[in-house]
Amino acid sequence: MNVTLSGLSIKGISTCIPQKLLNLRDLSNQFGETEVERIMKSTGIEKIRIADEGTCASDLCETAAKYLLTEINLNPKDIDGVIFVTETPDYIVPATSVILQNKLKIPTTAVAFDINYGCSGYVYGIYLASLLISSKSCKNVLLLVGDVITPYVNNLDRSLKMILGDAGSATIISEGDDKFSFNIFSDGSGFQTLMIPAGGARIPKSEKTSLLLERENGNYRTDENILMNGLDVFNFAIREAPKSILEVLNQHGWQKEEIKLFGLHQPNFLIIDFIRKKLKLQSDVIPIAMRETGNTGPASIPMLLTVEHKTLEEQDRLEKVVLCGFGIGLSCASVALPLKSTKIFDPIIFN
Amino acid sequence: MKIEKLIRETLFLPDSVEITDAAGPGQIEGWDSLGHVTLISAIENSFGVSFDMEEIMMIESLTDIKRMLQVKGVTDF
Repeated sequence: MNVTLSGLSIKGISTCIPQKLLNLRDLSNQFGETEVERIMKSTGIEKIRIADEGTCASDLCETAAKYLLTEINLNPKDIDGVIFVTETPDYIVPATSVILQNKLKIPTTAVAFDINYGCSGYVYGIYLASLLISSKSCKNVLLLVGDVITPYVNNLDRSLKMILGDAGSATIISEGDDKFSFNIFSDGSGFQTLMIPAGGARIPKSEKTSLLLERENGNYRTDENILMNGLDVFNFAIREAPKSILEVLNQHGWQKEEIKLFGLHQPNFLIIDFIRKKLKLQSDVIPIAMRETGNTGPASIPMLLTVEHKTLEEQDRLEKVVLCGFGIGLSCASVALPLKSTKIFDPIIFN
Repeated sequence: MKIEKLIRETLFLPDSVEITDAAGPGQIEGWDSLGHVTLISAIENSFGVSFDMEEIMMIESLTDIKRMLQVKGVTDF
């Protein structure tokens, strides 16, 4: 699906990360020093942010939102749309977005809904927020995107234990003079590639689903843990992300040579580098920023922007930006947009 | 022997692990899916070639890698 929407702007972006930091080298006793070094070298990830027990994705997003609204001087009363994108809602029901609407003192007249998406979720969220604005349903939409995924990762599954981290983000999409182009791709035939099998209506939690079993490559997990077929995810990402990026550039009328920032989802160094090579781009236009946080799923693109914003602003690289997320679903989504007028803030720590 | 050295360095293999032409993903410790992709990336960078996804998924052994390198015009590996 390709579409261009106009009359838009992104006013601000903030992120919030947990205080607790896992240094992956500390896992050497558990997984072996060589294995840990090998994985760290391949992924480019050295540390993981982990939320404390009881801290939810909505808590990180709420903190990011309060900070952002204060910094850009936007009254919650002026927000008329709330979108919460997460794989880890507070409850099965109700939607967490409604709880956040109340916590953030956003008027009850606001529309509020959740979207169950992961790594492509930030672009999906911008797309839906843009639809709300361009249809004149809303003037200011608060997009909250984040996961606290680490409770779903089995401690004996090194393939994910050393990759996935927790984070939340807040973005304000408002009426403005900009136009955004989108490319969105969905392929549910790959839904088993990246999933939590048990706990929903299809496979309710049971004694059987809680059994810890040895899986591929000596990793262990239950069916209530998140699983990932790494090679299939890799295959999907390097096949679809470059296509999606080229499609959105074409839709927006931009040439790839004029783009100074391709803000990609941050799964690991390898995938990003393969996508870069496939697009024949220099490494300086595709920043990498998961070394100190891990793969923060749907929040990884705003995390990249908030970690790198000072450099990006100093080098004047935010006029023509392409963002691309890919992963669970399987799904891939890209957006071409300007971020030059967007106020982007350093990540804040959750207390 | 260049390719064997590259495999050993990329996958952090000790000298005690023998790398035969039959070796491939799942047969050597560290040559799992992440190791496989890491290795292909290292081969691309070292030999100045590019593998498409179908080729990466088809590789079952060092023999396959050598054959593909030859097809891509690399003879000194």
